[in-house]
Amino acid sequence: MRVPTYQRQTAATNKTGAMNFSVRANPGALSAGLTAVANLAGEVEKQAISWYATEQKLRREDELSKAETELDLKLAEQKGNQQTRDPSLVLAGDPSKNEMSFVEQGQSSIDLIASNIQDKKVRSAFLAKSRDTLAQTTISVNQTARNRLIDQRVAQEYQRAAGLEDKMVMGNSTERAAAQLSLFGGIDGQGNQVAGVYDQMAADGLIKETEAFKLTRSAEKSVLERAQKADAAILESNTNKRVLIAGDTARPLAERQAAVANTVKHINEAIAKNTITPAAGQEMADKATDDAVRAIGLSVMTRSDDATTAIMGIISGNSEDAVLSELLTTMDPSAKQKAFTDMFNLGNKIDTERREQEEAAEEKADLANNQAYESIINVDQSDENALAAAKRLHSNLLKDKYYDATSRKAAETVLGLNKKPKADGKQESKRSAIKTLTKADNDNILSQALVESLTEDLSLADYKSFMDKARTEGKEGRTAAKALISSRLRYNEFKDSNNALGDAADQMFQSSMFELDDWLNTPKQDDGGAGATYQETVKKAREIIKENDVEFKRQYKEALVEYVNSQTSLFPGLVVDPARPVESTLEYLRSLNTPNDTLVKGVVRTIKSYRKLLVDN
Amino acid sequence: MGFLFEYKAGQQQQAAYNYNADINERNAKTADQEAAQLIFSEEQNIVEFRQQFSDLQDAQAQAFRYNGWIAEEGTPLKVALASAQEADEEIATRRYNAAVGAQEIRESGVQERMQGTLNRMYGKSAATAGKARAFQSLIQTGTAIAGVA
Repeated sequence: MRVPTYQRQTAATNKTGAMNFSVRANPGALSAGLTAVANLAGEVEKQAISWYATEQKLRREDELSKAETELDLKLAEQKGNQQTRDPSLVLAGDPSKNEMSFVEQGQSSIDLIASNIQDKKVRSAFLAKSRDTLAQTTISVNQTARNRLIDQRVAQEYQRAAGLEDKMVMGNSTERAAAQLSLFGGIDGQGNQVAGVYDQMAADGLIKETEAFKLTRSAEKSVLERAQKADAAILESNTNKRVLIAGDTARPLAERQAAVANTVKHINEAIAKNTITPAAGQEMADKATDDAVRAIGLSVMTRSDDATTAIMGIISGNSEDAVLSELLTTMDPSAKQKAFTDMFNLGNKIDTERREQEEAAEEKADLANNQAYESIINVDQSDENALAAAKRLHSNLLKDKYYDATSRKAAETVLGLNKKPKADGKQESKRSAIKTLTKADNDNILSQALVESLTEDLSLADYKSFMDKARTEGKEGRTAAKALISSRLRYNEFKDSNNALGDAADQMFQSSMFELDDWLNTPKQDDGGAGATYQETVKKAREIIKENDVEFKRQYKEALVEYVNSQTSLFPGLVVDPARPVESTLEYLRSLNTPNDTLVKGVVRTIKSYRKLLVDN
Repeated sequence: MGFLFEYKAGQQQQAAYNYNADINERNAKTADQEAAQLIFSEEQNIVEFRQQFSDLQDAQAQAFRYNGWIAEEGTPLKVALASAQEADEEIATRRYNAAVGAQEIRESGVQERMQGTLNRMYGKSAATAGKARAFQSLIQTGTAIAGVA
């Protein structure tokens, strides 16, 4: 039997149980913290340095900027000041007058500003930059100064040229010749060639040659035109003087005739010299003739008591003035007709104004007398001085024959020169008298005569009161009568118009008022209306209107025909039928088929006013 | 606001490193257990080997006896002693190998612990770096704002 044995089967391992560690410390990761801290410190340092650098830079830039701004302001101020300085001083200065050029002023400002800068780098930068700034500004300022120098010179030359032009027009012959040579050039007395002002300016480079040529031509034209105008003005002035002489009828006839002859002669000479055109000469001659004729006509009219008659004499060819007769023969017929028409209208106006002045004077005198009478009626009888003065007024009124019987009696009663109401202030008025007078007052029939008839029944105070009322009523009666007449004649509407209607209205109004006043001033015993009541005066006005109505219509019709005839210059085809002037004229105007034409409308309006007058009673 | 993100980034990095260090520690502990388990397992094998060797000795003594030999003396005894010697050496070798294996495993655990220590150091450094970067960012931002203002 086999004996089993055992042999070990496991060999001892050759491993040691140790192993190579793969663990490795990462220096980067381990030092990351400190590295970051280091970076942090570096960043802090960097930022601090950067901050300081920035601060320093900003401070320097700020200081530099301030200095530059100050310099800019200073240079701008100095630049502005140069505008009012002499350009030569701007460019070069004048040490003898302690005047610096602009460059010197600028450099002085730079030095002053730089001296106040403490930082060397800033000062250095400022000085470097300021040189450029000053140089650039100087270029601009000097250019302006040079331009101004040139402008001054040009202006002086232009002024000189203008002065030479004036001398050529207004100087004497010597001055004109000298001015001609200087202005336009030529050969002087020594035989030297002299350049004209503008040519010399071109030669000096102040203006271009073409400009010099234009200016020379313009000056020649200007001198010619101004000389012509001056001569024409002298001619016109002399003509006016001669017209005044010719038109003055107080001057000797020979002098006036010479003035007329010289006027014609000088106008013809001016035409020959081209001072004025033939047309202008003819116009001047016509105007002179017209002015002289009108002046003579005015003189004749103002010397005559009746201007209309005087001018009618001239129109009819009966002029006694030889100059006027001579002038009228040379006038154009239409101009002559117009002058006659105007002078006739003027004559009418002169006469009207004279009449109005006379009436105004009369009215003024009446007013003064009326006031004197009122003073007498209202005099304080207890005041002796007032009474004496009133008696003097009474005496004057007697001299002027102012009184009628009633008013005289009233005045003398108050003045104690006649029978007066009983016992001043002590007599009481009777009721019946008061009633009668009050009713008369209300009915506008109160008169001084009525008051006088009741004197015995009135106290002095009531007597005075009713006398005043009677006078007032009388005046109001005249005013109402005047308004009535004026209204019927449409006087206020036409009195300021120039045409025949205005003249007719004026004439008829004055005639009617004269008739009324004549009646009012005529004593009642002579069929007059002195002391008339309100109602009586108005009644009289109506009678005057009625009595004159036929005459009014006749005159208005004539005025209408005259007016329409005067419109034939505007409407050449207009023919008036004297029997029916309104309708025939309106028919003609309708046939024109221009109802909106301003002239047509004006004529139609006037004619319709006539028609109304002719129809109204 | 950038400095806040820098700071948080450092914190996150440290957390990641610490997480890795925890894993390293766990691995180290696992290695320790594996080493102990290796020794324990080998001792069980040795017990089983002794049992088997005892059976072998009995069979050997029987064989000697079958062949007429007295098993407890002379050559059979020498043979039995030689076998026993071999078995003892076998056991010793096994124990030695197990100890070496366990040592090797423990070494790996040591390495894990070292790695964990490093990770914690890295984490700390990363946190410090995050704070520093945050401050740097803060300074840059402040300087920039001051420059603008």
